[in-house]
Amino acid sequence: MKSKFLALFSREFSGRLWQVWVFPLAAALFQPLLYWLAVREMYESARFEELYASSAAPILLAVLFAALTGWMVWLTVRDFSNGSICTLLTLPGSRGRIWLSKLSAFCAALLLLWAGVLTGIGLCYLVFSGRCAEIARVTGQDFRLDAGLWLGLTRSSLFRILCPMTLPEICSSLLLFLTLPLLAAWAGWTFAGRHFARGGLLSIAVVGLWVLLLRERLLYPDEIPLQYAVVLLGTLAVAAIDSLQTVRRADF
Amino acid sequence: MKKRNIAAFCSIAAALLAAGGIYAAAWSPVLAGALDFALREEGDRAALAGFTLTGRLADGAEETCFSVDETGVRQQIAVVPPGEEEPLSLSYIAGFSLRPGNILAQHYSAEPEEGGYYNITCRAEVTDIRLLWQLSVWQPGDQRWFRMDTGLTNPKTYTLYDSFSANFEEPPTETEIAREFAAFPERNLRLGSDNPIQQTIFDNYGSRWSMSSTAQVGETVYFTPAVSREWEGPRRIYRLDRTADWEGYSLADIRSEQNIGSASPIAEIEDGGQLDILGLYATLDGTLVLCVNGADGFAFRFYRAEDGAYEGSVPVPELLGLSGGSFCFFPDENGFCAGFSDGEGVTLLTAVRKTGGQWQAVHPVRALPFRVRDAVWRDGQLAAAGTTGSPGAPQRYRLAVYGAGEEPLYRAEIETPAGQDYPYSVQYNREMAELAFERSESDD
Repeated sequence: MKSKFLALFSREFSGRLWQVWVFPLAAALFQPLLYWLAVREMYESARFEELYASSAAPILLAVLFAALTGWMVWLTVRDFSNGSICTLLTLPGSRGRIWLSKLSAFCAALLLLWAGVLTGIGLCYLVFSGRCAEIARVTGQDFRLDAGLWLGLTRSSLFRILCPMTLPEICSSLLLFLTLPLLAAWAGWTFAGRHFARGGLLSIAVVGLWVLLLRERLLYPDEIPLQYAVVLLGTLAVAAIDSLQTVRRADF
Repeated sequence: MKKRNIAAFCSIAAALLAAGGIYAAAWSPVLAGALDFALREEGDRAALAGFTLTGRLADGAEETCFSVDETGVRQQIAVVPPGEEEPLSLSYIAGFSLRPGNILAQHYSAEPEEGGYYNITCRAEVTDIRLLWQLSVWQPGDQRWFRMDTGLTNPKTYTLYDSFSANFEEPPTETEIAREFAAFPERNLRLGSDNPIQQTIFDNYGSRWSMSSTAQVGETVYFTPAVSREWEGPRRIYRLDRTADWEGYSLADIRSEQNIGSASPIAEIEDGGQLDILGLYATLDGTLVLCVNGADGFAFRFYRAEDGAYEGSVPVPELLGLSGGSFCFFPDENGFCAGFSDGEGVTLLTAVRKTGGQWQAVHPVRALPFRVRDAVWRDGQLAAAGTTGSPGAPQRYRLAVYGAGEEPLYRAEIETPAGQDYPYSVQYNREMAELAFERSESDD
């Protein structure tokens, strides 16, 4: 069972490793570039997190996460269009492994992107520190801010989602992140099975709840919107069970 | 294992390492003590025995809780988790409204502004004004108003004014301005900022001494109209009656003269006409402390909250030695520390306690070189903590313990990294959210 799962995971993840790496590399390299474009016009003190929010880096992140999710959906649909999934479904053993391996591969891809995003933020801070030192040298002001990266990460609602610091935030961020591969896997399976009505409605519900949860976290960092989180979790559970059953029954 | 599987494993490991590295880079200065506080001390720290100063330096996103005692400073840094904000508490705003009894004369004027607008002003010479006392009670999800006619009148002549912007095609005549004012009867004439009455009616806005005239004992609210000796009529302490008829009044009623709710007088202030009534406070055991300024200078008067029984007076004329500022009052079960802080950051502070059934000042008035945020008295020693620094600038946090002598037995500055926020924008500056003393049991 274990080796078969690993073989399936390997097919899903290792086989597309170089494509997967595009996302974290883009996040790690382009974020500092965009941040630098915002910071180079800075001639007086401003906070790291405020400059980040005003740069184009958050837009880049939105594009990357959306692109990764879209790519994951497309991969699932493509597996049907070229018939490769049919071969897998004829293999002996539980079909749930196929579902799980694809989901795990998507999660691994998301993990890489998340690490790339954090690395990019770290590099942005280096850009910020360099610019502050430059301004301090010119103006003679003292811009020393002990534990500045930590303060920046804790003081920004966007960073508190990307780099959660407390247990409620970790749970909430995990839910936000894991929604993407779950949605991608589920949507892929149902669209491939031509269950457009079911897939479309549930997808819209999940995306709507996800956006609401994200919006609340961004606007009101002081509280976790538990009601949205619970409903999203429930909807995701329904979607996960539905897609698992679809695969088990080979209902395509 | 195939090469591509090794690459996959290494990719996941690298991702975890990179993410962990960012967390480590963020947290390592914190764990290494970059945000730690330090004490710059003078004197013997043993003087702090029996006192513990606790505080919380916070910016809404993270906080440092700390305590200072005779062993030194201890602290704990934490990211503020969501939903951990303190609930709103019950609070009061006392204000006043004046009703022109006799308008002797009215003058109207207009100053041109941009876009055809004129700033029109009404000035009224009035005499025999009556004082209405207004109180608002704010608590989460609930806002109520109380208003009563105090029966106090002022025989002097004052100039009241009101002004607002209005649009006119031509420069307005006095008649046109008067018509404009008449169109808004809910508008209230108020006192000019340069008017001496501003200093003689001790309200919450622009008064000489920023003091509270509302005190809370348990769930019960007491108040007294804070007025100067120029007013004529009875000076009383009232208990607010929580009746149904004071509910449901909106902010729009604030300028009305209609009474809202009811209050019961519990004590008539003896020789009230000879006193400036400055404020009303309460100790934790339920004694009402009336602050007055009479012929002998500043004094505290004590009344039992249950029945208004007078318990005595403690004159402290030296306490009113500053030209202006805010009053601070730090109650405990059996007394209080109180004083005035001025704009320069100096606080005159004393301690008063009830011993053997008698109220007395147990500590001479001290001039402390900071604005006191909390103070406590124990076994002949007065400990106080507070801040220096102008508003909007980095604050410095100070602590001192005084004995019988003029000089403090111990003083210290608590050095925090909060000042580093100030060269940056002000949205998330670290501020001292709490600063309070805990006192261990004493013999008094």
